[in-house]
Amino acid sequence: MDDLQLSFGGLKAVDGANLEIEPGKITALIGPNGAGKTTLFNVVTGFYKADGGSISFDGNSIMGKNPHSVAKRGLVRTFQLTKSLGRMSVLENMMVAAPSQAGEKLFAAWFVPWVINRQEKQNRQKAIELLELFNLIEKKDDYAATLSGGQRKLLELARALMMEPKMILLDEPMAGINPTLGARLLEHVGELRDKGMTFVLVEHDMDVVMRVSEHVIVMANGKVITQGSADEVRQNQEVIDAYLGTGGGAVEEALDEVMEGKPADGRE
Amino acid sequence: MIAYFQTVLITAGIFALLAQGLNLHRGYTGLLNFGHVAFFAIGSYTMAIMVTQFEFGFFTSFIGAIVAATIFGVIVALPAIRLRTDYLAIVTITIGEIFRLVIQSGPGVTELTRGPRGIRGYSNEFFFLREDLGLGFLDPQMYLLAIVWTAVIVVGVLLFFLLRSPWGRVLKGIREDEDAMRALGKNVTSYKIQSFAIGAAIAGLAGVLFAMDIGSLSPVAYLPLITFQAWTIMMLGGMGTHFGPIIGSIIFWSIFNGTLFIPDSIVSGAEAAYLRQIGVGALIMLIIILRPQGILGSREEMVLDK
Repeated sequence: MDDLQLSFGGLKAVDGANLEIEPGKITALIGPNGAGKTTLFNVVTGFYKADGGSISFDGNSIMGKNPHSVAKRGLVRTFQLTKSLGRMSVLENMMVAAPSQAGEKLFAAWFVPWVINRQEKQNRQKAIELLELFNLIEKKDDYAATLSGGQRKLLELARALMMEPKMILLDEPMAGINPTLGARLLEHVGELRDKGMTFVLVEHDMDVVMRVSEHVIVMANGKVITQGSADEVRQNQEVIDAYLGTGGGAVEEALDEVMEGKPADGRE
Repeated sequence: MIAYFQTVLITAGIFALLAQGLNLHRGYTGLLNFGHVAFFAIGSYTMAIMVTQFEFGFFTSFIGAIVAATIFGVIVALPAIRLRTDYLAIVTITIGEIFRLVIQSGPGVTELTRGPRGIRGYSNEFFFLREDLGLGFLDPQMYLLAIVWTAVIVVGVLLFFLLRSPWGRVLKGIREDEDAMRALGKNVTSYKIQSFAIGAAIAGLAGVLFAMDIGSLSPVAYLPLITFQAWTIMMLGGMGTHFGPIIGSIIFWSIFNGTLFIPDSIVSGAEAAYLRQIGVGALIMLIIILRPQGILGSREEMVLDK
């Protein structure tokens, strides 16, 4: 279903990255700060324009497409710093994300209100089901700005699901979220993967990365330095170098410690 | 006294329309438009030029004015919409001033606009129309008042339905975070242009009615002050509320014209004119200090950051 290939030249932040995401799996994208992970997300989703290379999704090229048309094709992203629509209610945040709404066309409200009402009813139903699933239902009439950081992360994922995406790119889904909510979010990701959805996540918590992802891609300095299963990556000398610089045996010990779930690069 | 209320209500209605358009831009879409007066002016001038120089009927000229304002809105939006917040504000305020100066002294343009000499004699047909409309029993002022407030109500109702539809929800989303809306598959640029165009069309309509009220056009009637008055009205009534612009406008113009009631023995007429400007400044400060969300705005929304 998905066949994503990337190669960029010239753009320094992402310098000749070449990778493929397997459909129906959870792939983690890791690497030290400044490796170009978020930039890669931005390029793939059309927020930045690449200088060269090609990107395809689901068999079609999405190179140079606008963010909204990438999203409409079913490739949806979340943001590192959560973007909730603060002065809109949680339910409105969900409803606005529903795809192909007749009422989004100008003047539709004057001429075909019954079509809009019918769609709104369906979308509200869907939104409420998702909010129930994510334990946000009691908050549905509150302003999104009143939610906690963790709840906003959940809302952002739930909102992305309103769009019925094929693939979701999660940019640091666990950052600033308490362990209970974090575990719940990962649970949801796992369930959705079982239903056939594809996930790519940028994550710094190695414990999470090793636990949930079936495939790990390591980036450094805008390049993909290696990829493979969590265990394969753990053993790779280049990864060790990228995180800690080239060095002696003490480094490996330090890395083992890191891979066992402690902060990877001083964050958090 | 009746004359006072008529004057206040006619002006208040016209500025309620202006503020409704601005509220669509700022209150719902988050666009900082400080050049609203340009759309207002293009409405007045298109109508007046079509009537006096090309001898079109009032209705054709009226439609022409709104179409011209809409097109101008799109033209302004195309380059301006790439800019965010303060940058958009700077560009729009400049566009407003450039537009006024072109009307006043643009080569070639002044043949149509008659530059600082202005245009008059375009309003006869509009006022004669009241016989045909069966409103012959009204005097011209009352007739204008009725037309202005019909326009305010019609525009208000149409906007109400538009803004509570999914279309309006997308605009609010753009106000909150346009990148989030892009990531949700919405064509933000297109919505901003639509918002700009509709707000401009409403300002064009207000411009036509304003022209009928003042009777003769000249560029000095379209100073940036008009934009700031519309902003004050919107803030006073409450940004992003349906009835804010209407209530704000009535209160604003009651205060503004209230200086008429100060007896000559205390303050002369000329001094009173300055008092009004001081009053407007004080009003803006009071709103910001005491009720930043405006009369109808929600305190909670004001306090929440994104």
